[in-house]
Amino acid sequence: MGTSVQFRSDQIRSAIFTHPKRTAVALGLFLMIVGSFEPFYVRIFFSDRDALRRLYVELPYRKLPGFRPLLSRVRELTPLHAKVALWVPPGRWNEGYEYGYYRSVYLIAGREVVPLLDAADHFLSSNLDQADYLVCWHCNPGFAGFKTVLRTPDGFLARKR
Amino acid sequence: MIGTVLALLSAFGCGVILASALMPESGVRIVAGTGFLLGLALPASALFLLSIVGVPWSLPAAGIISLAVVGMVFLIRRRLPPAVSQSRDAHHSIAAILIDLLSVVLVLGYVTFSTNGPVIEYDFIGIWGVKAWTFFLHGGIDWKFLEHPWRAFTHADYPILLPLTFDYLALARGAWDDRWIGLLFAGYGAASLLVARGALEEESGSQVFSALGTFALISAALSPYIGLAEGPLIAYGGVGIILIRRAIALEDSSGLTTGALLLGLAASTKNEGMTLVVAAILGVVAAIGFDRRLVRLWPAIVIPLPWVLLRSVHSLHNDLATGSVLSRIWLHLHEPGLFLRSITRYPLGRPLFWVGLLLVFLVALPPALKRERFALTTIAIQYLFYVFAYLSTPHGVDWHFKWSWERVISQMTFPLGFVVIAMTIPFLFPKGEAGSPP
Repeated sequence: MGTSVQFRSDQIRSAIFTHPKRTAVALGLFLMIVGSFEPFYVRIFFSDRDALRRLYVELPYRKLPGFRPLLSRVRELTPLHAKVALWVPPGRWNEGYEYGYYRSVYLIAGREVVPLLDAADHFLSSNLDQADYLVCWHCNPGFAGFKTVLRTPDGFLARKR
Repeated sequence: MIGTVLALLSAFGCGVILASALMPESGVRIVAGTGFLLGLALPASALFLLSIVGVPWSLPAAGIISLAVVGMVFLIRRRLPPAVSQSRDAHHSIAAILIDLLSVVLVLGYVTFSTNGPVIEYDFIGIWGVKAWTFFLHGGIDWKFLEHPWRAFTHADYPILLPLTFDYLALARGAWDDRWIGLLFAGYGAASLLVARGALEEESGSQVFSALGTFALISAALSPYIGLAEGPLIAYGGVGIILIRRAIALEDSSGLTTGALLLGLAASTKNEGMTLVVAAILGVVAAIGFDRRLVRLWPAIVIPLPWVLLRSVHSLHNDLATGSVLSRIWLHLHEPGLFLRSITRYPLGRPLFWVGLLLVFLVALPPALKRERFALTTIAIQYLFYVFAYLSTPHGVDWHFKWSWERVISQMTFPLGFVVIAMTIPFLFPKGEAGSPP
């Protein structure tokens, strides 16, 4: 047994010194094979996939809790091509408005999401005039001329009177 | 799920007929992988055509156009003399089968991960998915949506092959569902791996080697960015490079056209695909000179051309091209520290893989320089385009690196990994020994 192990290590040593480039290339290929292995693609079979799924559903909207369910209800309650104005407090572009506006266009695709704020935090009142609906996350700003259609803990939806 | 699977299988069927007509000399793996990629592009291109002529989208209309293209190519091919197969009868080995099974397990793991729930990537929600869903509800490309300044954040100028492919799946299913889109991405990865497996086997004559080489490419081929254009770009761009490299080695002019077809589809997927076409043309010139075979690359230019013209007509601008590009480059060149800090700060992913790749590259480069001139020139020029994009960014350099560096670099890892693995063949199978390359 000991002789056999000794013989094999001699063979490896000889191969390395006889063909150093070949050995280096084989080592490089070995590192590529090992380094490419992604254990997550095996772990996923044994993980709690339902919990992971629940996480996936809310993950892209996590900074505005309740935003996705609210917009899903808006989707059900508004017709295609409706102009839906969006309000996200505190009404600052870089503090949630941009985040909500960009995602709302996907969540209620087919409707035209009308921004009420520009990147310099100016309120766009003319856009509110164009809107058929107003959706507000976690607030009830009480804009005149709109009738409440939906009120949930996540916000409300109102239709222009 | 069933609708998505049936849509993918139908596209695969059409694509295999198309690929076997275009590459009759190729082995089954190369035909199957290329067929899947071509097959998916068919109905998406049909939807593009329907939008241009103003016909509302429907599955039968897209299907008829796709079948007409397949039938036409098939009939043309039948009139040409039969080709001789280049695939070699490799020795079947249990070891290769076991390694392939491990690869299949990892691909199935990827399928499980990518279809476990809705797509979570912001770029899907804000760019690729939102366009596809809007077009689906509109029944065609919604130019008003793309042109509106409020939708500038969706990068309206980006090529639209991917959203149109999502729309094909939605039409087949009859509704929008972003959960099963993951299957599409698994298909892109699996198709690329099939082509790599076939090409490595063809070149080395060893099943075990090609199975190991394919295993090493799994992470590079299966894009973790589900729903983003990286998946199809890696597939179309990577397989395009592999097929052109193979065509140059075999002096197969028609192979150049098939490779160029895939590069044209890469250019229809993402702006980086357009720069890849330029890089690949220069790569072919570096390999064969200004030879008349260059004309064979025509699909790489013709395929993305309609979108380039249409986005110009509709004034859809690229954010990197806004303002004074040269002054930004000049400014950033004067801040090399910031640039280099950003490169080193954000990871490339998989350090061990890169160490191995670098080791093979350094040792095997000198003898491979001539043989790999096309692929290495193409990939090097593409990397230069990336550097140019970061130098010309209108956003902060660090911000741009933070949000895209690892993802952008991943676009070329699959073809680069393939070429580097192929570079090991002359060392591991020296001429005269069993399994030496042709």
